[in-house]
Amino acid sequence: MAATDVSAAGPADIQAGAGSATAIATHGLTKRYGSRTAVDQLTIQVPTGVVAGFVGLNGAGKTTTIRMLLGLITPSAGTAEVLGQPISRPAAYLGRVGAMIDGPAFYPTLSARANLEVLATLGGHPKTRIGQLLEQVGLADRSEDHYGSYSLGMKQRLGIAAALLPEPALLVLDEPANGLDPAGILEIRSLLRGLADQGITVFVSSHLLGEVEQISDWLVMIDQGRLLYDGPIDQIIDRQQAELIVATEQPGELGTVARLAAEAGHPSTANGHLLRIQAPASYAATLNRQAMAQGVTLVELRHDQPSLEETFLSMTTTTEATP
Amino acid sequence: MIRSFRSEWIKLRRPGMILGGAGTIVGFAILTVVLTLTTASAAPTDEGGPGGGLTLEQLAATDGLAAILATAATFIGVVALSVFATSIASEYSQGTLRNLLVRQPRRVRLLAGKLLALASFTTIAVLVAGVAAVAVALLVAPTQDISTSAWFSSAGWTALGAGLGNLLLATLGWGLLGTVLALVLRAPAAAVGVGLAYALPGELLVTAAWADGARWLPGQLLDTLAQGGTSAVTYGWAGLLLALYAVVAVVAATTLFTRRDVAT
Repeated sequence: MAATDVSAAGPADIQAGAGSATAIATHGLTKRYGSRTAVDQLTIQVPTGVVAGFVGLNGAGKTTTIRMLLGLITPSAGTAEVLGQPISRPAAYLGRVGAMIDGPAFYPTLSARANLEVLATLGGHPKTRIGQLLEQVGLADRSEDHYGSYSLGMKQRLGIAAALLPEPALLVLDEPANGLDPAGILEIRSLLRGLADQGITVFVSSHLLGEVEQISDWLVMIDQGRLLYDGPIDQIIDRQQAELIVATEQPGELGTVARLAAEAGHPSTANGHLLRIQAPASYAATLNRQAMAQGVTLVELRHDQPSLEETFLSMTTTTEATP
Repeated sequence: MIRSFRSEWIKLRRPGMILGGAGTIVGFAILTVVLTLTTASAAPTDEGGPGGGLTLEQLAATDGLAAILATAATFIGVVALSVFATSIASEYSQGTLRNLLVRQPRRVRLLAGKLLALASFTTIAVLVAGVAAVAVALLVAPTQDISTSAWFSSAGWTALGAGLGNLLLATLGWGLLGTVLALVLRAPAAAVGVGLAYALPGELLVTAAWADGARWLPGQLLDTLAQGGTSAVTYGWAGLLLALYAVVAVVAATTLFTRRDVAT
């Protein structure tokens, strides 16, 4: 299935999956810098209560989109709402939004605690949360050290703590796993899932697609500023490249299997002694029965579920090849 | 705005800021007092800079202390320019501005709170500098046979208060210039560099070539304000024109800060 097909199927899925509440909605959101279009007519809807992965290649427009959603930059065209409020009035919703944009950024000569005090004071958030958050992200024993002495992983943790200061309904994180070791990534994954279980919507951009696949139940995929997909993550993986891998006892019988699959509307390609059929897992039993009826013995029949990374590469490659 | 003010003060009370900003202002004031009192002569001289050109008679007058402090106005002002420019421009260069704007998206309130905090920090520094200057002057003046009795007369206290007030206004004016440079250039080194280049050699060169420059150039006018007026430019003219410049600067700074994308 071509990338554009999946993209076209997105809005229907969105309507079905959005429910009554939408955390983030954009309508033709566009940002141009001179002749360059960083974000191009982006229309997405992210429902509340999900962990939504926001993926795209470097320079795809992820951070620009996030900056527009947070009122840091003004769109060239289009509109958007965050937690039901237009982004032209960020003060109406940012009190319920926590964010870490474009990596952590703090004052290097202030301690972690003092850095959080600056933001808590500015946002009017209770300072009692600072200690709890430092404990939660594992920085309690280094909370009085200067931020400038922190490792990248510790800086990321402080960025997440700062994002959690306002007890957010929506958490927007830009590459939160950058610089974290495997144990740290595991902790962040667990933290984000825990937050989603509490009803917090998490919108997380990442280039670690495997990570996004593990923690997300919603996916927004963009390339060169344009939407590729917006919807439940399992749907894109199921629809995009679901394949049955088939091997027959007699190699010459692959043609018979290919014909059976084609008659059922599933195209296939031969790959050595294997046949790759574009079909969902549910077609496997039918194919097996039909093959047996034709006197063909299948020695291998398995469902191949592509990873998000493979899906993403397939979609972006298709898009680039499309004139 | 109050939250922005309080938030900014958490940064301003860093030891580096107190020593580097307030400490330098106090240090300049003390240095000016010592240099002025120990190098003063009976006849006027053409020396510029801190304490330059004041006679023993002028120093012993009721406004002697105020006159000493006024000669340090440009140097203290340059420190204030650097403090304001660094504080604001580093929010861009460190990327911390985006965090602040997420927590306080009303940009005018954020900027107003920051400037109010910086202004209060500068005010405290100038007042401490004034107290330190008086204390040092009391120690040094007797060693130079300079009478201090007129300083502590009723007219002397009034002159000192007015002198400190004028010095403070001039210093805040320099801070405002630093703010505009920071918002335009968004990099501390560039903002401080351009500010220093303008304040020290820049205006002096222009004034040397343009006789009427002292009546129009902001740095010269701030110096005039600190001195309470000069024979060439009245206090009223300096105050009026500087107020006009300040309005333009505030409008420009607010427009830049509220309308420009924060893409760092």
